[in-house]
This record gives sequence, structure tokens and C-alpha cells, in this order.
Amino acid sequence: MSSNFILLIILFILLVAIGGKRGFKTFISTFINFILLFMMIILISKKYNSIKVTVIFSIVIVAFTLFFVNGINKKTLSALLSVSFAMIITLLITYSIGINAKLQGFSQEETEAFSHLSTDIQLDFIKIFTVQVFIGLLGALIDVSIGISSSMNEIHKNNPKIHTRALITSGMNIGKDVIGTMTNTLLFAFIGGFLSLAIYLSKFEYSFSTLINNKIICSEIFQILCSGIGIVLIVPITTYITSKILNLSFRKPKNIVKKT
Amino acid sequence: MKSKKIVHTLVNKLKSKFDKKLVILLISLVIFLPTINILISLNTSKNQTLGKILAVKEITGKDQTNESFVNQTLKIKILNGEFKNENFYIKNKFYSSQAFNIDYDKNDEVILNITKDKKGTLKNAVIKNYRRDKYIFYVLYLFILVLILIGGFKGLRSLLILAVNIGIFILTVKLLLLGFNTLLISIFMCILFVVFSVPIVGGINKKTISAICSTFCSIFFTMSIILIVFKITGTKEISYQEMDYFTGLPSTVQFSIIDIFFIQVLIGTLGAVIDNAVSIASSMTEIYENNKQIKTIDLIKSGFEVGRDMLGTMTTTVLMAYISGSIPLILILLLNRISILGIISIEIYLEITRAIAGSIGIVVSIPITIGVLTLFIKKPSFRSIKT
Repeated sequence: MSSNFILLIILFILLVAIGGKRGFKTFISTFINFILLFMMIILISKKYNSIKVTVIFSIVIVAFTLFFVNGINKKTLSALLSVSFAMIITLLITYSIGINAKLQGFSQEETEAFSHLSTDIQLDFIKIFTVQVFIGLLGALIDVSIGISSSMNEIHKNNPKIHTRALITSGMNIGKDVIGTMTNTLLFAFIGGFLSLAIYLSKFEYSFSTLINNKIICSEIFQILCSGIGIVLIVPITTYITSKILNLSFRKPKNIVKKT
Repeated sequence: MKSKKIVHTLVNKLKSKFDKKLVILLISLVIFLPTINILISLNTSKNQTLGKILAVKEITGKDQTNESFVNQTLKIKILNGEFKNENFYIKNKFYSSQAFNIDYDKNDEVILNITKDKKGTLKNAVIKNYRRDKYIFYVLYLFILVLILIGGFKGLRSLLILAVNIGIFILTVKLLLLGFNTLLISIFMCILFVVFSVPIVGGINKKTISAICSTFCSIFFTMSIILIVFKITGTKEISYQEMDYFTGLPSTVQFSIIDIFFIQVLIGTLGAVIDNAVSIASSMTEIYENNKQIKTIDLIKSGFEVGRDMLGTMTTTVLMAYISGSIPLILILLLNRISILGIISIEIYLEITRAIAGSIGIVVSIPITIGVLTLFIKKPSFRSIKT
């Protein structure tokens, strides 16, 4: 019996015991997200346009994650819009710099592991690198976005007459706090996978100038930095979109009062 | 009239956004960052031979599998070192996918390996690497700029945490290579990560101390579960992972592939747990501050509400972050007709373990953080610590 399988069962038990109904929903949604991710990768391998496939599947994953666990409401709708918007900007930035830095594909070190595999693949790996950076970031974007829109919604609920500017300031304050912890979480996630490679590279005793031009190191640094940029950008985007959506519903009661 | 109003509002917005301190910060940034860029460029120029591609001649073709490739002849001018300003030609071949090779363009800069013959003249030059340091710098600049514009001083503190954590990571690698006991290094690394990451943003108070305590408890609990499970089922699948990376290491090292596997799981879990513990501790502290008379049972209930709300998005974050790194690998495996089951159970084993471990850590940290924070807030003996 595989260790991962047993760990999965333990995770399920813990989720239901500690998380209750939401824990159960979380397990299902994570499982389905995993399947969606794999479907996306399989479609890319079948030569469909990688960027289009990524955008469509990302929106599906975001919508599903938000709506399934939190329901369809103002909070989740603004989070969905914000993530979609931030997605386009991040994809543009990543692609334009990535294409110049030539970070796509595999490096010399990784190629040895593939010696038994055919390398003729007919896929554009520049686009795939962009996809990789974006998918790694997507979960964090959803997290930050729903966190901000949720809190702003609470503040608005407790004080419906709040001025838009004050609401936006609150949203930005919450966002600033989250930026720090979220970039940290992503950093840990990415360097966790980097450890074995770091050990491998250390034995060559490369100079700093060699390391900083090395493809793998550069692509790791690049992924971390681009993810950071994405997380920072989604804060003002979410704050603005949420304030607009909350204001739309705020105006309605006023009109009804005037009519009578 | 309307345009005047818009300009007026914009100017007001700008005035309120940028107070003096921030302007000073931005100005010092504009001076500081280019200096770093120049220093890095100088270092690269000093230690490496650089070349610039002046012209590219291309001949396209298709091989037996119908994959198109291009044969390039590159005219390169050497930019520094002994043979400065000399030109010569290099051949390069790349496939259209560029998974393993690079398409060089005119005006690209490359790093060269020069071989001299007995007389000391230029015998041969090979492209060692493409020059990337300036692009990494551009992204770094963009990131710091955006971080400070939107995040202000809090953003700067986040940057500090990132730098510190990277430093701790490099230290861990060095310690591992020096051959210290692996378990001790892991514990030491954990302590450093947690103790530095948590207080930098929040300071030292009940909130952060309880976050630190609950992080340690959650990590201990989670890693124990994982180690026990692997002890029971055996670790033979792990040895297959990344074994090419572990050959030829100095004899001082005491770790095995399996040790590194667990440390990697640990690092990933740490990130998720710290984030979750701090978030829950912050929210619960806010709730308490707004209503100091709140009953213990209600405080605990609120804590669980907050924790359960964050559960879904945190686990998705962890899952996406780990799987993303394997996307290129999965693609190559799929195209080589390796089964999906084979990929999941063998090739990306480490990533899946990290995802599950991170999720277990997140779930486990919810009750632990709630318990520790409630203890700090409600128990008289802990009340003496300032909020």
C-alpha cells in the first residue's frame, strides 16, 4: 500500500473531523481541482493552444473552488473577476520577460534524467513555462482575493454607510498584511522543491556569476518573483472591484426609499 | 468642469498616497537598485567571458519524427577578456519546442568558454550559457517597485522576510554539506524560519507568540504522522526520486536521499502552517479586541469559523504551488506515452507527498492555534503578557 494513499486517507479523516461539512467539501474540491489540472495538462500535451487552455481551465478552477465551498455571492463574484483580471496581467508580464530570458524547458542538469525519453515533442516550451508560473500562483491569487473581498464585505455589512474611500483603504490594509504571508508561503513551496537541486549544484562550486546565469536557478528565482508581482497586483485589483460591487448593492435601497 | 474635478481628485489621491517617507523610500530605491545591477554586471564581466551575437544565419529542416529544427550559424564578437573584439563563428541547433536548446537571436549576449592553443591564441569558443542576469534583475526591480508602491512599508518588511528566509535556506544547504546531524539541522532550520518569519510583521506579543507555539506543535504533529506512515509502508519509492542529483557528493555528508525528501516535505509544510497559524491568531485577536467580554466557548467557535473558511483556499494554494513545478516533466512523460497512473505513483511522488503533508499541516494547525490562543487570552497566568 502506497504511503501517499494512506496519508490521503488520514487527511480525509482529519478534514472531516476538524473541518466538518466544509472540511468534506474542501477534500472534494481539492480532489476535483487536481483532476481539472491534470485534464488541462493532458489537453496541452494533445497540442491544443497552451495559453487558451490554461486561461479556460484556470477560470473553471477558480469558479469551482470559490462557488463550491463558499457559494455564489458578491464576495466570490468579485474574487472571480479580480483573479481573471490579474491573470491576464501576470501572463503578459511573465511571457514578455520569460521570452527574453530564455528560461523555457529543461536545463543540462535535468536533461540527464531524461536520457531514456524522447525529446522530440513539438510543444512551445516558452508558453509552457508561462503556464507553469501562472498555475503555481493561481491558488495564492484565489486565497488573497477571497480574503480581501470577504473582509471588505464584513466591514460593509457592519457599517453600510461607510464611505467608498474608507472601504478601499480598509481593503488595501488587509491586503498589505496578506501579501507578506502569502509570498512567504509561496517561497517555502518553491524552495522546498529546490533543495535537492541546490545540493547537486553545490558540488561544482560554481562562482556567483555562473549561478546567476544558470537556467534552473534563474527560472526558480523568476517563478518566485513573478508570483510575488501577481500577489501584489491582485490586492488593489480586488479592492477596487469589490468596492464597485458592494457599492452597486448599496445604491439599491436608496432608490427604493425615494420611489415611495 | 468635469475634467477639472477629475484632475483635482487625482492630485488629491496622489498627495494622500505618497507621504514624505514613501517618497524618500522610492528615491533611495531608484538609486540603490541600479547600483546593485551595475555591481552584478561588473562581477559577471570580470569572471566570465562575454560575447555578443552580431548575426544569425538559419537553415530549417525536419527530422524523421517530423519535428522541425533549425541549424544556426552565429557570428559572435567577444566583449571582454584577452580576446576582446575578436569575431568567430559558432554553430547551434535547436528544435522548435526549445525544451532542451535555445534559439539565439541577433544582439543576444552569451557567456563563452574559451580554449586556447599552445601558442596562446584563440583556438575554440563554445557557448557556456545564455546571459540571464540582467533579466532576473529586471524582474526583481519590477517586483520591489510594485511591492513598495502598493504595499508601502509593510511591503518592505515582507521583502525583508523573503531575504531572511532565503538566507536561512542557503545556510541549511551549507550545514547539510558540512555533515552535521540531519535531524538537528532540520529542527534548527524550523526554529529559525518560524522565529524570524512571524514576528517581523506582527511584533512580539500574545498573537505572535501563540502563533509560534502553535506552529511548532502543528509541525511536530504533522511530521510525526508522515514519518510513522513511511516507516510502516517503507521508503523504497523515495530512493527513485532525483537520484541523479546525489552522486559524487563529498564524504562528509551524513544525509541520504530519504532525509532530503523529508526535509523538503518539512519546508513545504512549514510555509503553509505558518501562514495559517498567523491568520487564525490574527483574526481571533481582532475578534477578542472588539469584544473583550466574549465567552471562551464563543471565541473558540469563531476561531473554527475562520479556520474552516480558509481551509479550502489554503489547500488549493498548496496543491497548485507544488504541481506547477512538475508541469513540464508531466508533459514530456505523457508525450512519451507513460501512463497517468505511472506518473502519479512514481514520477511526481514527492510533489504529491508535499501537497498532502501541507494540507494535513493546515488542518491540524486549526485546532492547535485556536487552543493555544484561547489559553493565552483567557488563562490568568498568560494574561500578564502584553497584547
